[in-house]
Amino acid sequence: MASNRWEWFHRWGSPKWYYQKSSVWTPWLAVLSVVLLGTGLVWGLAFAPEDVKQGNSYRIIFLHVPAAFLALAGYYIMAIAGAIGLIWRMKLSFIAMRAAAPLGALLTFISLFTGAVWGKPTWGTYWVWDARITSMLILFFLYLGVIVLTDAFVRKDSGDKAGAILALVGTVNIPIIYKSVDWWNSLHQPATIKLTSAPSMDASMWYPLLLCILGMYAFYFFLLLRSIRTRVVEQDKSKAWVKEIL
Amino acid sequence: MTIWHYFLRDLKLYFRNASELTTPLIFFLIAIAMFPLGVSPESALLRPISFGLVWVVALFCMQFSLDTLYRDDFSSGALEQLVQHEVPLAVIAISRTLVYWVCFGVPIAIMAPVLGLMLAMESSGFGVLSLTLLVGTMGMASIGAIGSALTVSLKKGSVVMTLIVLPMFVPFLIFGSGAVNAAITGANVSPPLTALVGITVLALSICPPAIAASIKMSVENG
Amino acid sequence: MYFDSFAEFINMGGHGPYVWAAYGVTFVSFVIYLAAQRRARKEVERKIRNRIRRELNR
Repeated sequence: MASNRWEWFHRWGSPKWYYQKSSVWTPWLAVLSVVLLGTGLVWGLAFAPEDVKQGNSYRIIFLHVPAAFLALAGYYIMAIAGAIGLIWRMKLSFIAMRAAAPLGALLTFISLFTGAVWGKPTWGTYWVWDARITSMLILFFLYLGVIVLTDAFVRKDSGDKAGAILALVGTVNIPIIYKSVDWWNSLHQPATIKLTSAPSMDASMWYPLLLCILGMYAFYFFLLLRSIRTRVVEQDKSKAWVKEIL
Repeated sequence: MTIWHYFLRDLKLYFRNASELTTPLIFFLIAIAMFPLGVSPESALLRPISFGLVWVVALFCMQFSLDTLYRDDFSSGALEQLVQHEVPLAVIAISRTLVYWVCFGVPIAIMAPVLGLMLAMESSGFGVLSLTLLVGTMGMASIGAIGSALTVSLKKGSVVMTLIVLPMFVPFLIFGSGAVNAAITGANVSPPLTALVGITVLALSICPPAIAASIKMSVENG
Repeated sequence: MYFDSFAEFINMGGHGPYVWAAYGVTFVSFVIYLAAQRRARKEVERKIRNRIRRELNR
């Protein structure tokens, strides 16, 4: 029983095994994300009713919320991958960590941008120091830190470890940053701007949003697996299996 | 050799190099003096932002000389010997973090009310300003030491270090200056102050293993 | 369809520029990311192919 479990685990350490399996998974993830995101976005943009308070600008939610979800989840995915790499010295895991960093930064940027553009018609300004926006901005900085640090090392091995340590310290920090920013915001929030007015969501808005969130998850893993594939090939460039596939 | 021995030895080393010790503190003073020149000399404008400015500049000061923590030991090869030493790296890391705090954190906390005075800060906040900086600089020193250990083997490590360390200082800044704000406005100081102490204790407890792992990585990188 | 006409759909009750800017920038960022991924992939493959060729010629 136990040995079976470890067999499964050790196969994950094999780049070749990953490469073969992921070539089956990625097309399915692509189809899944196109279907889910496609339906969700068209439904949200064209068929869902208008929000009573915010008008049509609320339709940005169908991108904003899924991107924000994955920006945060992506940091934990990156940190867990780094931790697995540190503990079991698994190369593939470090590769996953390196791949997750720019992808997470991209999603954080998208959630910040869509949030800013949504803010203009809703609050009358592109940028407010709202608790969630500020936390997202700091999350963006944390991602940049991991990217810059891992890339600064010429030796891949050292960059892997440094990035993993930083990502782990960051995971301890994220909830604290969220709490502190939340507290700070309650202290300074101007009375004129009400930031808590999340649209009162009707089922006709919830379903497309749910589809978009699921679709964004599929799309995230599609992009992540693809990025890992390239990095795996690069790492094993002198191995026989890479020469065979090319 | 006990942790106390390391602490004293490192402290002596810092005090031998007086200019390294005073530069960040001079920076603290000069940077604060820039704000009235850039914003306005009017106390009505400076007063509400005074303690915030002092806290922000103190935060920059704390990461200003983080390089001094491990840089010399790394280039001389002493760090490599520390890794093989019988005393756990984590113990040495904690002692050095404390030395760093004594050399930079404590003077910053003492200087802060004077700079606050220059920015027309309300005197009722002076005590809390000093106290929060005394506690907060300890936490920032711990986090900063991780950043320093991570980047010590890099040629342009200090730029990278600034980038990775500053975002992690955010909670200290928020609770620190928040507590001063509470003291001045007459609100309850204890919630932000307790939070500040809490995150400082947390930072102190997670930093030894993280620093030890980072130093091992840096020595391997050579 | 919630909107009566295509023009109304584009206009979004005056919020069109915001909505379409958000969707446009998101779409473009993903396209750029995918293109960068594709280029990195081609670059890696090209390098490895070149090396294999050199090894075969020797």
